[in-house]
Amino acid sequence: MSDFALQLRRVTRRFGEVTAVAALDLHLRPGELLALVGPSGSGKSTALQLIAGLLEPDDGEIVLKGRDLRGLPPGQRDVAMVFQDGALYPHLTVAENLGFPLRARGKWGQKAVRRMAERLEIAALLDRRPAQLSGGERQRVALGRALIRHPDLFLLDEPLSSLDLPLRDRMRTLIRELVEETGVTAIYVTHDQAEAMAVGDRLAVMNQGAIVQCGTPEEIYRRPANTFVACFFGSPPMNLLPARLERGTAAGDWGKVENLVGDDGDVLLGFRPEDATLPDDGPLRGTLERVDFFGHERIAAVRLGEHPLRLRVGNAHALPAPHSAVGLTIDPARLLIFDAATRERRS
Amino acid sequence: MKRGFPAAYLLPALALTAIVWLLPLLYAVGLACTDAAPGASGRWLGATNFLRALGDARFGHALLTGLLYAGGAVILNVGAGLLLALALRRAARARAIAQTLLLLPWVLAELAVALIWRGFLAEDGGWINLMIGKLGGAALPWRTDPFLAMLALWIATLWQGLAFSTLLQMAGVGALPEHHLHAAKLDGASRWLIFRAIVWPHQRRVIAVNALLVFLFSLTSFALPFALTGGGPLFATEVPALYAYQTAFAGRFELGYAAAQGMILLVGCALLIAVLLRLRRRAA
Repeated sequence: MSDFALQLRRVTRRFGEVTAVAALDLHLRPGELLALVGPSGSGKSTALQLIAGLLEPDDGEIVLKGRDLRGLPPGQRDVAMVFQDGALYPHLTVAENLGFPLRARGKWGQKAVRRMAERLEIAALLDRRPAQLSGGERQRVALGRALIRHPDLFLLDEPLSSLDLPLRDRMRTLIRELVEETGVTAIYVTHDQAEAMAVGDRLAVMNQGAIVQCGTPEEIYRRPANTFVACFFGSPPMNLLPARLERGTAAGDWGKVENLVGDDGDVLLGFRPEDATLPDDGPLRGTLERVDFFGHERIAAVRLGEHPLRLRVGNAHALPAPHSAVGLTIDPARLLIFDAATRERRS
Repeated sequence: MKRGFPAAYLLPALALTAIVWLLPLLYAVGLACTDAAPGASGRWLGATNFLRALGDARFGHALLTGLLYAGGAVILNVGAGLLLALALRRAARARAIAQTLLLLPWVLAELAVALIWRGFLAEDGGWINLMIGKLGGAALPWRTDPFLAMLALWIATLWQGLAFSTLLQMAGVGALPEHHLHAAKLDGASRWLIFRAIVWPHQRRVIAVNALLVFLFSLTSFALPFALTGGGPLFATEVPALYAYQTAFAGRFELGYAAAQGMILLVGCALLIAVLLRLRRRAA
């Protein structure tokens, strides 16, 4: 027996000429909440449907708690799923929706429905129909319907994307709590990088049907495997400066940075918006173009030669007027070096 | 002036409708109140013909036969149409082929359909009885057994009308919410539960419209029973239109009484539609 609750090994699915999921490997520990994140069309929803059995893979194997899921119909996999729109049955009441998975298994758990409704704070809504519920209430019912039968695996496909922002925060917290309370292993699919980092114990980043990087939110943010991950995460995304690295010095049309470690060659220097400052006597010279105020922070748009950069600036820091010259310092400890050709991180 | 303007545009269409629809209807109502015969305009009888129909056992029997025929046709056509639409839901290519094949009998005249099935169901040398014989069964008396004669009508009606019901059902089935079906499958619901909890509530209105159209079409059908069974054996398939035809043209020539029968059928159908529309509005 392996220590993993769910294992995907080289799972592949093609639609005609298009390979939607290519040799996907994924391992989840019991009770773990994994955020599967990527841009739209990256194959994450297809991956979820393969696990759920709504699609069959062309190749590879999927093992859940030691059971090979290949060929099993969705109803026999013990996998529950929450859909983007909730997918509540419109003609059934909240109570009937919550109890549906039990009814499908020949049980009729009034008590379980009641208990779940109380946990989700929707006990007053049991006789309503989905059309009479708000978006948040609907997703609560959907969560309850999925978890009422204690599934081995809990899948969430963009569960919050139809809700407005303040509600998303509360629902995200609720989902984390439910996963912890029930101890269920869960995969949370989203295209929103900030949501993925906030919700996941670990993140799996997908692009073009393959997993690009797996790791904790911290690892993904601080040590992205390539420029795609670097620019997908963070708002604003990571700044990239093209340079030629020779004997520890990276130089470009924008200036140079010294005391770097790495082989000579064409590189991209990456740094987060918060990893550079704008002191008057900074070694790099640029132009401050615009400052956007966000309350808790400001984002400065700076042009360094031909290259537009975004920098996070504290409210206390004094800035010159727009369109005037500024100095710029990059924290060398936070600087990442990517290969210009492969776009993979070198250090 | 401005308000009268659109009405002016509608006038030609309204006039045409009045000429081709309203005038014949009024003429039939008038006819139903006389004892007219071919070549003789007849005397005014008032409601006599209508009262006579209410006391006419053969007319009552024809109505019941029509209801039986139409009811069976509804169950067969709507049921088969829904099943076929569900089966073809995910198969785009099969759907295109099926649509073409199904449409062929639909464009045939009712009379042609009747003659085709008359051949297929002939007791001696008919294709169906030959098949049954090959399988070791006895030839079925399609023309002399009352139930088999009705079954023959149902089969021919299904064959001709399946395209209509299937296309209608496909329009509803195509809009079935995919997420709901997925969720139910994951919840471990059986096909029957999925049908009851998701497909039926979603498809209910389409089924109702489909059933109503097939019912009205069958209840007023003339050419198919006329050419396939001729109302036999022994009035077993004599639907209202056949009896009206017998009354008007086959030896008795009672045009007024036949028109009265037709009026009663028309009013019955109109009442049925009104009730169903009322029910739908209340459900919505």
